Amino acid sequence: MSNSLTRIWDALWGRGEFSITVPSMDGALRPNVRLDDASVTLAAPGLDDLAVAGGALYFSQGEKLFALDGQGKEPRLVKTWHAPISALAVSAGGELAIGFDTGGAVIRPTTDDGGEVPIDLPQKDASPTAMSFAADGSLLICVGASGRRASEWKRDLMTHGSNGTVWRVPASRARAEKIGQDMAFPAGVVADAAGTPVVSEAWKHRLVRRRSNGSWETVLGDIPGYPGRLARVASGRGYWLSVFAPRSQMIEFVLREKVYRERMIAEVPEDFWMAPSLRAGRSFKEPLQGGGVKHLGIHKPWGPTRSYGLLVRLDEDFKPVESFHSRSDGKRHGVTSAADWNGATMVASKGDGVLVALATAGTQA
Amino acid sequence: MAISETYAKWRYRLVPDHVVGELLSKNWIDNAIPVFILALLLIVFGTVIDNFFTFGTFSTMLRQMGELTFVVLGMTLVILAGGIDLSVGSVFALANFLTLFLLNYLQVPVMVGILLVLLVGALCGLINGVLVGYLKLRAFLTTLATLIIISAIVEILTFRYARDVVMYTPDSKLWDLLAAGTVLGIPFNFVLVLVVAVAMHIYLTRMRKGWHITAVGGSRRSAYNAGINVRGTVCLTYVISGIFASFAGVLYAARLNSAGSETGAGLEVTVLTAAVLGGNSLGGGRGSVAKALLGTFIVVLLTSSLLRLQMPSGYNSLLLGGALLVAVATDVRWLKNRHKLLSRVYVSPTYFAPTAAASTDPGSGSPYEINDRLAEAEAIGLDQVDGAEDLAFDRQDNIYTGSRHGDIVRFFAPDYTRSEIFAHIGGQPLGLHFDGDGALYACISGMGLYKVTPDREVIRLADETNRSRLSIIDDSRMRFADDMDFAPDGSVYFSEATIRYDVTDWATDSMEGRGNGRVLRYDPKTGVTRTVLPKRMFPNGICMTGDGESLFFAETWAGRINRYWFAGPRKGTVQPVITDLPGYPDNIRRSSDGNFWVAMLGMRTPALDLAMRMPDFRRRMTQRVAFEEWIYPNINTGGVVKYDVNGRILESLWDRSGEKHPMITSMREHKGYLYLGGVFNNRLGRLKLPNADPNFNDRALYFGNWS
Repeated sequence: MSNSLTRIWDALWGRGEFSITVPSMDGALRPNVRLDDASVTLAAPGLDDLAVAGGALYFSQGEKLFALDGQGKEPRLVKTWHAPISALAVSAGGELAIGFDTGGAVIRPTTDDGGEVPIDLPQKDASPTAMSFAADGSLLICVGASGRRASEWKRDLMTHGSNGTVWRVPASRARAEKIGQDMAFPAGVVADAAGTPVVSEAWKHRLVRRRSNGSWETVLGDIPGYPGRLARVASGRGYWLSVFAPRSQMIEFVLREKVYRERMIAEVPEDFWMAPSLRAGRSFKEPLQGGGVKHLGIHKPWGPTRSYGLLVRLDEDFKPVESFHSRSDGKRHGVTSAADWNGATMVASKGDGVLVALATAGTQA
Repeated sequence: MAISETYAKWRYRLVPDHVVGELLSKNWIDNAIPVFILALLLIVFGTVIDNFFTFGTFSTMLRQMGELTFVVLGMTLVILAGGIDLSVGSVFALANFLTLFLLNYLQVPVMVGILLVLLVGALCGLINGVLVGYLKLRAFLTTLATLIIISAIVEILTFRYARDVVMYTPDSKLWDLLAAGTVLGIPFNFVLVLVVAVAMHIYLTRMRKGWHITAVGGSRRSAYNAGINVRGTVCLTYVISGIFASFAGVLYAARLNSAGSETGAGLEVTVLTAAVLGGNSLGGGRGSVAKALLGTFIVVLLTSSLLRLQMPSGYNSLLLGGALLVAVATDVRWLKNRHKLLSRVYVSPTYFAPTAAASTDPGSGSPYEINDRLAEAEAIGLDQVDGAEDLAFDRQDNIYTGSRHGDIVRFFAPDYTRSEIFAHIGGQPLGLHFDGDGALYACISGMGLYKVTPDREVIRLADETNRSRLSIIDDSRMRFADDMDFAPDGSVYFSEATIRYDVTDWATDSMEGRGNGRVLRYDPKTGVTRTVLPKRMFPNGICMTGDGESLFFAETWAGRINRYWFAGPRKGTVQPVITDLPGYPDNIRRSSDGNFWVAMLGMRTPALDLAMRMPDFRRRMTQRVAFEEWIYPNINTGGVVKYDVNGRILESLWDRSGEKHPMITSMREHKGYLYLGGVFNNRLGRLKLPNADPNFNDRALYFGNWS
């Protein structure tokens, strides 16, 4: 009784769970323009996930898988599938795992085209958002939302989706085991030094680690954006966290406005929603926020934005150490993946369709 | 239409929310709480006490009020200047005793006696005034000390002369009048109160010295810096308080003719309660005579009604103490939160259903189909302009435009690379037009309609219109003159975009969805300006149709262009001619082929169009979300549209990327080129128009052979 009264009171004044504060980007997350300063390796519209194996950088772009070797500037097409690739992973033993937006995943050797084996997932239409091999050879798979494709993430966020799952495929490649459920869009996974899975729970803005009893504990919370894929730093000490979209007060507000949100989903085309995006401002039909108005030809870098570029380096305890930004006026938004390769950190900016190389001295092996 | 939307439509049509904000911005709103309390008490006592609403009840109350009100008025004055006077009770008692002593014992003439008593009262006040005002002692402790000293004197005197002073009563008409006289059935002392109250109200609100008192109470330091004699003003309030308290003592003596030692005991609490309960702020600077009267009436009503209810005597003081506590608490909370409340409720969105916007999609075949024709425009004044909302040409083809700094800037023909400040006006110039004599007319935001002669003399033409009936805030002053045009009779029709926001936050007006603006007419023969069309949604561009009896005006936030007939058989009618614009129309200008150019300052977005139908959502957004984050009209992309007199769209020009001309607030065709302005842009632009008349000058349409 008193609880529901408190809720009504809070709703009236915008307090408690109805407050719409967003953590500020400070400390290790202090904004800079290091992503925009990074050199472009290649322009690839639709570029999504990255993985490194045998000295080559694999990247997915729509239905296609490409590889870039140490010297070549021209990417080599590995294979074209029937459906868009939604996740990639490479094992220490040279196995390549590929997940599809339409559901399902396969494992194949990196070396040749033969021996493609489907992964045995009990959930047939599961659309992986991220995959990662653990040291013991098992494969960890995140499924953002049951019954939704990975590419439908915006709709899942705006409907408060929380039926994501996490799976473990044993090294024997037997049937996958469900190790996490009812999660708010798991969008990234990595096994920590002890081999324990750590998952980005995007809609709850946090990283969670699986306890031995099967429950999940928060290892990093209050991230000022929606955390996505995780990758180990080449040196082995620390992780890359790609934050694919920023949180903003206005969107937090819309998320709490049921009637507006439902009508927006029903009546407004998805590209024009008041929702986060990998790249905002492409069309004038997208909503504009007051601080985003251009003055004298200047787009304020600190202005509110629905898309952003952010890559965070975490230490072994998953605490942020440094970060790489592309701000409101930047051109490297929607960072979906990062991987250390060839003496640099390669970053996929899906929002702007470019692969950039960050000079990150000290993080290499 | 959904049920919730129908509800929203009627809810916002019937209950105008913006009134709350406007009421809160009024000074007299401080009276709201005391009036409410008074009404409540009248209802309660009227029900509880039999025969409450009779002449006798109120006549007795008014006589009691007479004495008390004088003391409260004095106290109000002291509080208004930021002090407090606790000695009023003892001054009152001293005056009572002295009156009886002078008139009864020494048998001094009544008039002389009263004046002597008032002099003593003034002296008591002066002691307080000098101590507090000039020696800067704390008002509370100082007046507490004088309270004790004066009561002690009264007690000593009373002990010595108590019996002597009541042996005789003076035989005087004046004395009888003071004691029990009435004027038209109203007790004479209350008539005196009314006379003094009116005089004091005029003193406080209309006279210099009265303003000084409020100013000192509001902020001592600012008052001092403004050159006000702070010490003298403070001292004066205590002197007046002393005089008023002693006069109340005279009235009391006349009425009761007794010199008990209990006289005036506890009076300061009653008086303080009355003053604060009426809404006079203890912090100083906020108060009025009306509040003092209101508070006194409440206190008298309370005490006399309790007597009639035959409550034991202690309850009376208990209630007064409680009332004082409530009043002080309310005062503090109200003062602290009034501005917060005001800023919270000022932006008051209402229901507005935008029409479906016409398509701009490539390949849709729509006349608004998106293109990049404006990207070819060459820049003028790149990184030199700031706030170039509109532009105009003189006979030598020089360009005139406004700036955010309140200047009119001139770019010299033919290459427009050199510029100078043509005139400084002080407010940001918006719509600009030359008249037949070569004078530049300008709508200046925050100032009104101005004219700059070729000799650079700045002349104010209009800065106020008629105040609309039933408006709470004074809307006669012009806040946002936006665009204008000349009618054939020489009068100027101009738009005022909104009366609720200034030019710095003009886009905030879009959050409201209400007709906050108006179209005005300035008559050069009489110099008078009158509102011709009130309650329009951000009326912006104004342009004569050329038929001599009608004009077009754009309603920006409604995405609508209307035609208004100001003469001829259809005089007074308004007809929407374009209702489905995909963007927000701004200025309208004539084209060389007899049609009209309209600037699109921004584009409509589905997310905002939806929000316009949901006023509750926008209200919560404006209250909870930082204003930089609000959903705005997309004013980062603009364009120019050409239409004919019937509202048919002929062509459109866009800058899709928004690199060069993100917003277009105005354009003017001149000699084969289309010139572009945008209030937030860093440049003016010009675009060669194919097939346009290379000699076209829009002034020729108004003033014949202009060049």
